Amino acid sequence: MADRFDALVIGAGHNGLTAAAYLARAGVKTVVVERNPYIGGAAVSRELYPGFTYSNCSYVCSLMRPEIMRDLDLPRHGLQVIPFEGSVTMTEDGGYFASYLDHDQNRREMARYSARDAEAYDDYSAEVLRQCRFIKDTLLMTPPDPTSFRPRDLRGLVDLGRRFAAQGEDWMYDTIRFWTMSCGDFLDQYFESDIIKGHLAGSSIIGTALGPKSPGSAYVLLHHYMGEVDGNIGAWGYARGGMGAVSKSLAAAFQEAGGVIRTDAPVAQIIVENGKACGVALSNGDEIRANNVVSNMDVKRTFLNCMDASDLPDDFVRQVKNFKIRGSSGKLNIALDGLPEFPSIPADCPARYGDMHVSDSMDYLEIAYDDWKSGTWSKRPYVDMMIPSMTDPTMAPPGKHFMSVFVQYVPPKIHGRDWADADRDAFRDTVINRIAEYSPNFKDLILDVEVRTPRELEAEVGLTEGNIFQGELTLDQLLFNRPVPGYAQYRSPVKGLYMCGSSTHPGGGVMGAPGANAAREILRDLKR
Amino acid sequence: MSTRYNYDAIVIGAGHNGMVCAAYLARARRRVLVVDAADAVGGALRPIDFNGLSVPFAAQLDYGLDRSLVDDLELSRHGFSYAVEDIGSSVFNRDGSRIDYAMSNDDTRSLAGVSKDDARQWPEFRQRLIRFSGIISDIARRSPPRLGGDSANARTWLAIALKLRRLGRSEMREFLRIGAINIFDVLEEQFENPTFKAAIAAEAVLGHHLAPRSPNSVLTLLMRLAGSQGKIALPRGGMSALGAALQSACESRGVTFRMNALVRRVVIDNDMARGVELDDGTIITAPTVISSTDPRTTCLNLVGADHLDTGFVRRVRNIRSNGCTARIDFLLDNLSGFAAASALGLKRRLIYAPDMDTIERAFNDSKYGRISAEPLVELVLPTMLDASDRESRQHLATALVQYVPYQMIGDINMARDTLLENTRNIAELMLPGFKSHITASRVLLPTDIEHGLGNHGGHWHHAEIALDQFFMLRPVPALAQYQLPVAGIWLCGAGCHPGGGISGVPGRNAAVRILASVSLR
Repeated sequence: MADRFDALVIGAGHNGLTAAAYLARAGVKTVVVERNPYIGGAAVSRELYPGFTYSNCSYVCSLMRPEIMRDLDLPRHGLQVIPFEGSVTMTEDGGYFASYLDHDQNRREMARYSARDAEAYDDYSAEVLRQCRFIKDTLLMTPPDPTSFRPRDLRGLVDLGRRFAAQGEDWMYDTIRFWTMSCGDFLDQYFESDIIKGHLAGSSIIGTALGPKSPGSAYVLLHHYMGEVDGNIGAWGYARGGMGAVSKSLAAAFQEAGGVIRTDAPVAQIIVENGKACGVALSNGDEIRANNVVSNMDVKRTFLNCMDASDLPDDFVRQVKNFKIRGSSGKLNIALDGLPEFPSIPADCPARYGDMHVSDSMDYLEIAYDDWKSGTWSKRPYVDMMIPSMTDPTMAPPGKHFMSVFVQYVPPKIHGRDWADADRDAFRDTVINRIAEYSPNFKDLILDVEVRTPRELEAEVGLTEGNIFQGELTLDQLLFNRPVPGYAQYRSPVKGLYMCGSSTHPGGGVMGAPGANAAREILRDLKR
Repeated sequence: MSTRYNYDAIVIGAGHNGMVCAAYLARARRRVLVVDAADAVGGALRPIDFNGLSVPFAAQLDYGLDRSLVDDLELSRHGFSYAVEDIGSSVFNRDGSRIDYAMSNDDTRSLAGVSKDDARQWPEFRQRLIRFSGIISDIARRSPPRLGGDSANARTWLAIALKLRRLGRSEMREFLRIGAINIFDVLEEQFENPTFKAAIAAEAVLGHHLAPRSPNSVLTLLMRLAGSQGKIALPRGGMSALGAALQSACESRGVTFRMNALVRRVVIDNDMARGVELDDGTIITAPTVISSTDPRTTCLNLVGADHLDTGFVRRVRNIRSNGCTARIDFLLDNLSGFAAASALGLKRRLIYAPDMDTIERAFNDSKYGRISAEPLVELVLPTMLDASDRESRQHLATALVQYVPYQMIGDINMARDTLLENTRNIAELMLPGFKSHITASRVLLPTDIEHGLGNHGGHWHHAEIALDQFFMLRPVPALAQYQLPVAGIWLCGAGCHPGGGISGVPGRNAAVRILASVSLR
């Protein structure tokens, strides 16, 4: 019983580590327990093929809040983010459309397809930027409860309302519409060209069980725009050494403040005594005691798998059961013997260093979604391909390359039954054949492929259904509704038990905001 | 001053909303003219001749006519009454098996036959929906406030917030959660029988370009229930009788009708409405012009982009107003034997919806411009429901069929034939023997509805009902108060809050706004 901790964080994902680091720096004696032999959750770098580093879950960096980077001094702890230039979509007929960091360059590129769209791009980017700025301010905020009369909640609501109103009446209407409309309708307001809309709409479906024509998908678009690298809003970058570098730097910040990390320690049960959380039981029977327990797992795993329903209010359990966590994504990590050719993309196009796609219209994406709805993976999927080793040579041996392929849509079950290995192989072939249609030498270069369907994501990372956001980013599950109404302030119905994962506001992406927000609320309760 | 003008107000379109608006204005002693391109009043209710039988042009049933409006306009004095006030519904599976249900009561006898659990869940679930629809109903009856502006706006928001809080904390949370969600998830949480789930989902998506998995489909269900707590009714004499009663109510208050008069444009002088110009060049003057057609047609065709700023025009162009529902009429002959055999089914509202995935697939087809291979169908036999209609040997069956895209790829006549054939087969499945009694049929695609009523897209609600086109955002924020940016021009059609479904509320709300405004002396 020597090691009684003030706080125990379940899961060494980036949010768990962020919360832990904030707690430790405030003098709270904190331990992080992680079931895998390695830390990082979905932000990991793993050598799964000799000489190659796979960012085998999350693969790009941008959303990590700069405030957190500063507070925890992450660059000093080894985090280096290298921005990349834009992205590119290849068309069915051998053409391409690229986007860049530079606004005017984007306009010129759009003008190749439509002069009108190039004109509209100014308005579009101004509007998106404005929405991003507004939402950015809410990311590191604890959502106020609209049903509560406590002064703190009322103040929070008034404050939110005032910030909202300060933008002017017209903008308020636009914003409400923006939060409720489909990505397709949003883009239709500005653009006419299929390829431009297809290119931009990709961001609205990543990780989401919605099509670009489903209402609510416009917000998801924004969720992927609000990142920044070195103050460049909307820019994306590679973490040098793979996404594990993010977790490593967070762990270093945590350990420097005196925190303890225990790996290979899967939690079986959260111990509740007299209505208060007081530690965890590991699956080997060991108990670790702590005055407060903070779960980085998603809400379903936390409350439905690791707790007795009798310790929780019935209503809460029902709400957690109804929380939507839909598996909709998959991933291929590929070791390549050389650089694959993409004849559609000019050799001097810098967008080759960024993300590459083949979805050249909104209908392409919507049809991919129809497959998911009918219970199978998209036969012509959305692929988000990148070759980080072109930018970061530490990812692969000289002359060889690591390619990360994110795939949407991939269902958690195939026509209602569990994934079988044969399904996984067929899924792999679908993706590889699709890419090979755009890259003649691609198949010949493949040394190794790691395939991750929702089944693997759930089994290895512990994400329910393999949902990368720990819960859908739909309006009914955002802000004060995330994860469930009444429990959006990182506290649970059980005293001393907190949530800090992406199931909480503001949701997923390697952002760290849920972890930082949770730590702030815990410290508030601890009066530190 | 009023002698300078022919009328105090001109209403464009003699649909139910146009007539409701006119009647309210006339009740406040305004001199009102209603002009319409057709030869008879009613818009979607307008009676047309279908092989000797008079049928309404497009309206199917009364899904929620505002009852206070019936009282205000004393419609019963003008011959309006109901033949049936609460039509029961039956949903059919592919094998012809059916479940009877109604959104308006807790009768679960039929449901219990297929699922005891569902029958246990249904009453509580239904009552909750009705409770939530009470909030929507309160919102639906209000004229949308603005987000900024004066204290009257703030008072309205406060009243709505208080109404919400009065639900109680956990109910309010549930309301806020499911308000934006899709009906698919909600039904999956509650029920197990696929066909029953499909029935409720069908109630949510009928008339909307939405499928069960589309977010917003709970909102549309609540909207449907808001009008009359889930009751679906048929006026005595059919839907056209409502049009006739409204016309009589208007005329008794001095409203003038001018039929066969297509309005070419609204006459505008010095940024103010001065009247309308008809197709034949006639100019009729009035300081107030009210359009009951859809917002897009009103703004872009009748007013004209020249009088509006470009940002506004862009928004109006982006109003989603493409219809996705076709209507098919069947003339049936010699039903005596048939009627005896399936007496029950003939007096119900028959829904074909085997399961939610079938509706979803039907929707998928329409997203890419194809008609649904296996559509969602609502079938009724109005002449069977309405006992007053018995002298004729002929009977009418009308079907709403989804999804039929406004912009269709491929040959439109082939699509028409396929649609008719599919619908006949589905009707036959629901009412065995149906096909052999058909003597004539008529197919109305969204484009035909557009043609017949003049509303862009041929949408039931003139503009899709969804959160981003709802209340203070409907049809676009700048038009939510029923008023155009040009002085003296107003909207009163289904494209305004709260939307279509023969409620008459847009017409009344517009009239109230107009009467409160200074632009009408």
